[in-house]
Amino acid sequence: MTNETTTTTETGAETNLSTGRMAGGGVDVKATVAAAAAASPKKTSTDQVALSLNNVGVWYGQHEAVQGVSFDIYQRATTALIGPSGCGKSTLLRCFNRMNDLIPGTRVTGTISVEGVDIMGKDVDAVQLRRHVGMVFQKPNPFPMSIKENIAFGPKRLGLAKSKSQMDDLIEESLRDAALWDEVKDKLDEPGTSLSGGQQQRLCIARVLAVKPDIILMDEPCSALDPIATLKIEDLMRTLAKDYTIVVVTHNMQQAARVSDWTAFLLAGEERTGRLIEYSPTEQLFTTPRDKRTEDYITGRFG
Amino acid sequence: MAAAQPATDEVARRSLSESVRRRRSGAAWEGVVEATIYATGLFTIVLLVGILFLLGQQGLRLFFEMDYPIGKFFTFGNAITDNTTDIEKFRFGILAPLIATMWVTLVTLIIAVPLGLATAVYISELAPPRVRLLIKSAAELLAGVPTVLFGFVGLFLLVPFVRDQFGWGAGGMSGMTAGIVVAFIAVPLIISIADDALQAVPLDFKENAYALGCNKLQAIWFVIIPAAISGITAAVMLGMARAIGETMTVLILAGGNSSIPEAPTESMRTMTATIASGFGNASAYSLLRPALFMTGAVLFLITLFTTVLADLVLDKQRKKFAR
Repeated sequence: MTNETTTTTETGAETNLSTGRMAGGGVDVKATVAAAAAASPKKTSTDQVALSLNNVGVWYGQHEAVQGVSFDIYQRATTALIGPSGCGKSTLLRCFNRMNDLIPGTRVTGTISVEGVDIMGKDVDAVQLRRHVGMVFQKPNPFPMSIKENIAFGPKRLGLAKSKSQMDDLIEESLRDAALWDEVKDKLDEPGTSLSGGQQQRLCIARVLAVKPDIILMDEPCSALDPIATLKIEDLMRTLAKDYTIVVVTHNMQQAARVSDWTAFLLAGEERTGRLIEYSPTEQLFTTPRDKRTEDYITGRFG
Repeated sequence: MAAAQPATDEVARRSLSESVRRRRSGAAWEGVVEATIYATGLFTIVLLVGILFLLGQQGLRLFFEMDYPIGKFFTFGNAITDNTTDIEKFRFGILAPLIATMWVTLVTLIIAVPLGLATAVYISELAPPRVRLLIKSAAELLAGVPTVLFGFVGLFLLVPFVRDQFGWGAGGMSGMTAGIVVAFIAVPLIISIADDALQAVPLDFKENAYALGCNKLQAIWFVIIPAAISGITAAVMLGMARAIGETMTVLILAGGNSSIPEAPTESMRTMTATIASGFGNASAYSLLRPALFMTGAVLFLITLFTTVLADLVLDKQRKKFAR
């Protein structure tokens, strides 16, 4: 196992290791962090644990995709999983609502507990788990039905609304919470696919909110969106983090810096097995990384 | 162009004005290929029109040259394939074969559609990979078996059974018997096409459904099947076309009675079987020959109509589920 840890908060340790400038793009991650930190003070206190990973490994058949990951994800905070392509961050995320069950030949070792319950346990029903741990995917993907029906889809299957008015309220509430209501309130019966990409993604978030989850997983939610739509989703993520636990996988380090309170950096070696390198409060990870490899990654030397 | 170009091995750079006005070296060949492809495309249309023309020209002689009454052709409740030139003695109406075809098709669809679609959903969404491969391969092999062999199997396994148990039709041979066997010809086709359609549903639809807390059946029923509905409709339509057009099996198993069948369990003769069995003894100047061509024309129009109808349905579905 590599040097994975949860950290104590170091203060004021602005080490002068690098300029924080990305080799290729010339983007200053540190500046982004500083700006984000100034805008909204980050939580670094250890709140209640929402999700706890202990020595988690994932196997796809004979291939070990993730190995020995242990860390805690805190309630009502946003945790970002970053790392280069193929480092296992999406694979790891998909363990949290047992999406990997759908891929034949996948095996998860170690323990993952959500609010103290071991979700890998034999007595745990993955279908029930997914009501509590919702997921937003990379590509906005409304079902081929109206906006309204898209939101009502989950609640209907789960029997959440007792009456039509209750359902209508739930639809409005979900769309409001996803910052989409004002844009779609007059065209709820139009197809979900008629919306723009960013609106579609917010529709997908609203669809998840409608089933009242505790944790929302987001797998690169902005990678198919333009910068303006991305900013809107990021704003939304910050708002949602007040009420929900959010775990987001992102390729975009600026995004991790802007939206998350905690960041986990994963890296895979030659054998393509992802390991946790560092897990720290976001500000600290981007300003004073403790591991040389984190430093190399955030300064753009690889990945 | 540059006046003084150094004499090197470098590929010369041509100016745009010189280049765009020049004919590309492969242009003629491109034209030939394009024309050939266009011609092959046109060929299907020529064939379609040609078939309709032939059937019409040969068939309409019955009414216009031989003065066989049109009303009698469409309403007479029997289709006796006598090789005769005497209008009074010729007793041939299309109603009986038409109804026979409808019975066989109905029986086929009632059995084949649920069986085929359920199997497709099972192998596409529920079965372990090995089982899926096994069933899919078996279905594809089955789809390639000549239908006359299905006729044999039906004759030796099903016919004695239904004769002894239910006493259907002529010694066990009936529309129902034929329909059951034709269903097993259509099932592999339906499985194969419906499975392809289900497999083509984007994975993220399925994942989204599961991520919202759907169980497997909910995901299949509310998301996967609606998304694959156009392909599923095509599978059903092709199964139907198979049932309408199947000849050998119904010739062997449906019994061959030429009068109007009032129930599927009666002995009957479909349009295809009437043509196949009657054509051998239809001489060039008999009334039978154009009558069989007319039957063929009606058969052709029915299949054309169902195909066009299916296309319209598919088009509507495609628009609804466009992404």
